[in-house]
Amino acid sequence: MVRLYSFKRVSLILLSVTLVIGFGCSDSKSKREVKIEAGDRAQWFSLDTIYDHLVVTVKRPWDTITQRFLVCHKDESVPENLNRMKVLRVPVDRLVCTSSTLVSFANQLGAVNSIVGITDIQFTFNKTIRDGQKDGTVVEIGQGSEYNFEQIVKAKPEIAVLSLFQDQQTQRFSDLGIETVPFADYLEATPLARLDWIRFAGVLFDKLEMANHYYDSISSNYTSLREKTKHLADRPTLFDGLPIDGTWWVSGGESYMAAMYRDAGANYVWKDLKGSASIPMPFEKVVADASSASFWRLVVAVPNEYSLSELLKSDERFSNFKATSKGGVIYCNSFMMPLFEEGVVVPDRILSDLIFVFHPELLPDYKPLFYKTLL
Amino acid sequence: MRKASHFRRSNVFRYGIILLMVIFILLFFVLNLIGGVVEISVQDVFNAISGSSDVQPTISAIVLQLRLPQTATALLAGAALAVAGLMMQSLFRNPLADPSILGISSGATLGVALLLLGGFFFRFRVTDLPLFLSDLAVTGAALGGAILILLLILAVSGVLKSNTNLLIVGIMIGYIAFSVVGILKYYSPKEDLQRFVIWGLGSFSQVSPSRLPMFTGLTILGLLASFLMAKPLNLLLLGEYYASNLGLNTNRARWFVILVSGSLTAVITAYCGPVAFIGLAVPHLTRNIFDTSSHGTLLPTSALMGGLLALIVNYVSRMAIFGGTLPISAVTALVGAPVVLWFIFKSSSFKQS
Repeated sequence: MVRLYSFKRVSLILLSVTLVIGFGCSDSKSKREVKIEAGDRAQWFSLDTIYDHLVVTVKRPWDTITQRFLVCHKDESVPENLNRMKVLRVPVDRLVCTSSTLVSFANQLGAVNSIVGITDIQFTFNKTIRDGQKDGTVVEIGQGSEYNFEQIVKAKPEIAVLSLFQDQQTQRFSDLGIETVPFADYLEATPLARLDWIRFAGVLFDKLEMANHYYDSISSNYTSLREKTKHLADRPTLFDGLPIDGTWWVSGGESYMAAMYRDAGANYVWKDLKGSASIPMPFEKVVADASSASFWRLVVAVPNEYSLSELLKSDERFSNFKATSKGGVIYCNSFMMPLFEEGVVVPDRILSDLIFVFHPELLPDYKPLFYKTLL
Repeated sequence: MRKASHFRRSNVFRYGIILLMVIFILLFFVLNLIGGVVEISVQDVFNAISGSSDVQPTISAIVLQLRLPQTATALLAGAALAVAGLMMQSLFRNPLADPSILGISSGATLGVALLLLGGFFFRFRVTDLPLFLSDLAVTGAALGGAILILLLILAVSGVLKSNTNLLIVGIMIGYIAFSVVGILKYYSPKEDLQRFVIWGLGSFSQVSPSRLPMFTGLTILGLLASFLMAKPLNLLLLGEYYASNLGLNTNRARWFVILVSGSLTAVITAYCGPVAFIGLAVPHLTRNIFDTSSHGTLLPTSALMGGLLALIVNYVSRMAIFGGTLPISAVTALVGAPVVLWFIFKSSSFKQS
């Protein structure tokens, strides 16, 4: 008999957003404290069931194109009634990818050994990947926007997990007989929605239950922290970004960082700014809007310790910001700290870092991980 | 029509136009201080400049530390590029020559590309550099690349007697730089690429108050040196044989013209990125307006006209309706080309009738 992903098994995993049919969810004790809001779930992928079989759907925000995969265990044969769908054979034992966050998700699920190739390997922090590079078990499959297809073929991947959607490059993967799967956690606009993509990784590595459990435990931490700051009246003002050639790039009001600031009990000066990406802003507007803000968050990538005097030396006009004179600059050195790679699996730690700065009384004896005050 | 043409040549007309340019420069200088994304009243601008305490520190910082350096940079850069372009057009007697024709700005671009995009070969990224270094490093790399090419061209100019061959050398250097930059871009991650693309569109806002004195000093020095070139440029315009028959040491004159024009281009590209169009268009504009080929007139008037055009472009690029962050090179031709076309059609209709 063919063993398929039964609906019952899936139902343990699926939460309210994807739970289409109401039976089988009696076993939901892990959710009891979690105050999940709509924005806490991934918007751009979903897990559904079609005729009791797990189907993963990835959407892209700029048009209506979706990609849908029937998830089918390697030991099982594809059900005949669904054999016209694209099939994702799991667990994937060999994959190449472009995303360093997938490395962290895989690492959390104990499946990082399944990653046999990645782009821009020199910027990856994960020790297993770095060691694998030395042993030759993990290869660099490209740099920047350019793939090295000979390395890719040599790595013998079952699938290629790409941050981008179909373009002329993905066609080349198909030509080589390698199925491409989009992985777009970076499109999500809240920290928990990004974390939710660990379930996608869970599908790939056939560790959905573990992924679900992890999401529940981290989101439970995150939401309880969020509850602590929700009704605070005293919300310090904050701005972010740094200038490139005289133009600042700041977080949009609908961005991941803006959500983080809100959850950390801060008042982001550009919270009403439309957009979920980085937004260019003239220097003078930044001075006008933010010179009296209490805090300034920035990310630098420097191979040494960074100091406030170095920041002020880089542009003397920074001293117009009140935050620079009051010890209000908080920073993360992404050269030393895997903020972008590992931060995605521990949004509760990043949130704690920020709360510790804005409302230290809420987290006595806390030791920050990523963000520190620039001295 | 003949009368009009005669009137165009009169000194009254010329001084009138010069006076008009100066008035417009002052006008747009003030407009640049007043206009922008943040609304600041004229009163506040004057209070900030006069150091009055009636103005909020934020407003004063915006006027004095952001708008004033940017406006001054635009004025100087526009003047310098126009003069450098004029010198190149006269030296090569080629109306399509511009400050980048000898590959000097390509050298600057290459320097910056190696710095910003060289991570593929050198295994670092500019974002890895200490922040205070990165902006200075970009200027330094641009200046280094430009000066290297300038020295190369100067050395070659001693060997190659023909201006045409020198021109070809410059263009070839430009192509080589273009290829190397293309390879670097091809392998670069998109964040680095974005940084490079932004640099390549030019900006007058990179010069902070502390860097302004150095920039001003270098530019004014170059402009003054260029004004000394009026006589040799007039002679070179006659052709090299004629010029040398008239007693000009053409090799030395050529060497100095390249040195001055190249240095101006190098400095402006280093501080502002490659700013297109002004160097090519302004000399045509002044030649058409003043109806002369005397560099005694063309050099200072091109400087004024270049400064004015850059101020207008800077004003437009910072207008609130465009979000206040339009890149300079995206605006220069849009604003400038119609003006140049209008003058060219107007003056050729004069000449034909």
